[in-house]
Amino acid sequence: MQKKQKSLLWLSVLSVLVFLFVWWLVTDGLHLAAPQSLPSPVKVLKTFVQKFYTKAPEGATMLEHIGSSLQVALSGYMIGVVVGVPLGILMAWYENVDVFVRPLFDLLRPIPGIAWIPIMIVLFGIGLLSKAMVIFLSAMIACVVNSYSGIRQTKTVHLWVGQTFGASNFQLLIKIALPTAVPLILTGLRVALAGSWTALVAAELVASTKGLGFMIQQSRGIFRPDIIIAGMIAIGLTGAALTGLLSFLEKALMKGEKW
Amino acid sequence: MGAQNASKAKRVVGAVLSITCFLLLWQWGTSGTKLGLLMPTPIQVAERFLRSFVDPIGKHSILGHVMFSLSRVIIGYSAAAFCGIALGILMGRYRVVEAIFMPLYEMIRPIPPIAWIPLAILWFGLGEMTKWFLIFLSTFNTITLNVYSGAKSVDPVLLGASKMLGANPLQTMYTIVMPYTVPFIFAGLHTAISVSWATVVAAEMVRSTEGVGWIIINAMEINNMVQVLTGIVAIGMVGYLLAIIMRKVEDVMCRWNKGGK
Amino acid sequence: MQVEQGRQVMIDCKGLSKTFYSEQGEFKVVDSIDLKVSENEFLVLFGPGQCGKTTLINLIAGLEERSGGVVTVGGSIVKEAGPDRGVVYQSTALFMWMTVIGNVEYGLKMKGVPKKERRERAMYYIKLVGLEGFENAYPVKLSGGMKQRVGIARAYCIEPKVMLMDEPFGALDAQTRYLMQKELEQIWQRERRTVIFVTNNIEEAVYLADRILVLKNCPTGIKAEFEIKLPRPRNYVDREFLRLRKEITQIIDPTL
Repeated sequence: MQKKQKSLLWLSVLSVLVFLFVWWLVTDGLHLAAPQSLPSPVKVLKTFVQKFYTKAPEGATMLEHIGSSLQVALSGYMIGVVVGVPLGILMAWYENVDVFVRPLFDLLRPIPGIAWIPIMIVLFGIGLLSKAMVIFLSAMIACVVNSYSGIRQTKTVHLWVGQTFGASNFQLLIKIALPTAVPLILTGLRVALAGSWTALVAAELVASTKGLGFMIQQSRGIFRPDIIIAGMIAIGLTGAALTGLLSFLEKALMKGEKW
Repeated sequence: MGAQNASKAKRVVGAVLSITCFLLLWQWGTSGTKLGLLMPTPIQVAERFLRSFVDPIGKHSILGHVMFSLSRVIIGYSAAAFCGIALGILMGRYRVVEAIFMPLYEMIRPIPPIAWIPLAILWFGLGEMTKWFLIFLSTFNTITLNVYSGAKSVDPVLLGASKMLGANPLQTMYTIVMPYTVPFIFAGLHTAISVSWATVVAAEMVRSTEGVGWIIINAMEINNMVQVLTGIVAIGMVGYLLAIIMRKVEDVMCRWNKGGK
Repeated sequence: MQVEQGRQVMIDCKGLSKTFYSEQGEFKVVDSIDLKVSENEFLVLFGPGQCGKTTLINLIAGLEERSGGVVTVGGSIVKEAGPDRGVVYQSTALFMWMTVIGNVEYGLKMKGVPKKERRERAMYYIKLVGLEGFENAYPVKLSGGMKQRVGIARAYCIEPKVMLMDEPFGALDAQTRYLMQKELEQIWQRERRTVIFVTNNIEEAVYLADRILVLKNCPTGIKAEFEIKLPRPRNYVDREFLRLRKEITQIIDPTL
């Protein structure tokens, strides 16, 4: 039984190695691809490391780009969470709020965040705020949807128990519905984070002068796919790190409580 | 508590009320104010939107642009659905396939599909292939994951039962694994359609010569806010319709899942 | 092990064992069991607790791999699950995306039996279990008892040599359970098969069995054997019934 699992693990490792090998073969080995289209993995690695202390060719180091992207993404994310979670809760709890807000929300939902960029630029200028607003929208939507579901799945039985003890509507919300909703709210936070990161990259591709999105877009213009790929890897790693951090916080928070 | 219980009539009234309030606020906020210098009124947008069915934006009417965007979505989405469902089922059922493809998938997954845009343009130029590739990439991930988790979760008791009843492995695959996975397939397809619509808009905004995303970016370049909002309206409407169609299809295909007690 | 004169042995287990391996260590779940079941005998495996009974029946069915010993059914050694050993599951294990008749005729479909004949045979068994009129319903709309009837019909339809039933009525409410016991008894009288039936309910055991094997818990093995020679259909409150019930209960709990 364990032998099989071990050999499967080796297969996975082998798979990654084969992938890297084929990549190297196509580029450095057999020179099947033009270096302006597909750089070798070795070059990508070199560039990746180099970028941490070189400002060339687009004007900032990798760290500066990451910092800038994080700044924008997290600002938009925070506002999105602060607005979205309570809104979702209120919509799920108070019928009048839901009946009024939901139609507007449903209209907004299918519009991808990136489409709002021109409007945001007009309203807020070309700096951090306009991008943060776009991210705010994506994050808010995810938070609302999940907080809403979280509250709605409160068991009626539990609410009846609360009512028997004479709890007011507000108390029912705070003491019963909210705790039940926490797992889904946390899911919403996670989804919103991933969405924010994606929205950030999209916004930076279109309207930015720094950040990872900007970096990869610029590098296309100067035919440096090695920077592009290095940038993509950085985007992936940063995104994964953010999600990992959130999961870690989530687990630490849930440690004492049994849901 | 619980807005689900609101009667249909109340909902309709609420929708009419809130949308009207929103439009009125918008109209009021942009008529003859400073904001009005930057942003158009809803009337202007509505007029431009309706006009663009005959009066083209750029080279095509609004329907033309929508068709371009949709056609890109359909091609990328279908290809991704086909490959994603196949790979997802294989990964879910065969540990060897899972072991080979999972690590590759995990490496690609953290990179948002949008981040592929510059590379895709570098590789495939400014034509359709770039858009197809990007849409394929963004939907393939979602679908494969959903189908994989579905195929993996087939109750082993059911598999045993089919064997007991005399089915060979291929028959089990067709009669048990696939039907069981159908709800998961549709969950994946449902999510993927929204993702693909967002991807095509992004791809078109970065580099394109037509399509709904192009409408917006072009408008931004010529500073035509009415056009921007027209584009947004079109994007929203089509996105909404796609989601609704998907939900209906899902309801029909997964009829047997809905209980009746 | 008693085997009635003149009847051939349908199921023969010798030294059957199963050990599970995990990070916590080894778990011996089935400990070297010998048992024989004659043709058309209704054997009940009775035992409280969750450990071993299902594994034992899965081993006989071929749904799980043996760690030791041999199982022979109808003369052939059991290697994997197959249509000579019909199984009825506690969870019913119905295919929810198929109708009742789709489920029942599934085995025949896999064999390649042509549609007309399939339908006829399936309808016969659907009638047998009392579900006539429901053949085109989806399982999601059926009650627990009805679902289990489908399970029984489905297993019968492949006309297996033996039927293995793993606490099939365990998930039903008390009233339905009594009903199903009666139904199963009638079905079995009309379509005789060799049956191994697992249960933790003493009444059910005494009502249905020709012979009861009382099992130990974890690892499972045979503790005692009882022959039930009462005439059928049986009466739950008959004196002899109650005496047997008491005797068997005392074996599993000497404090009573």
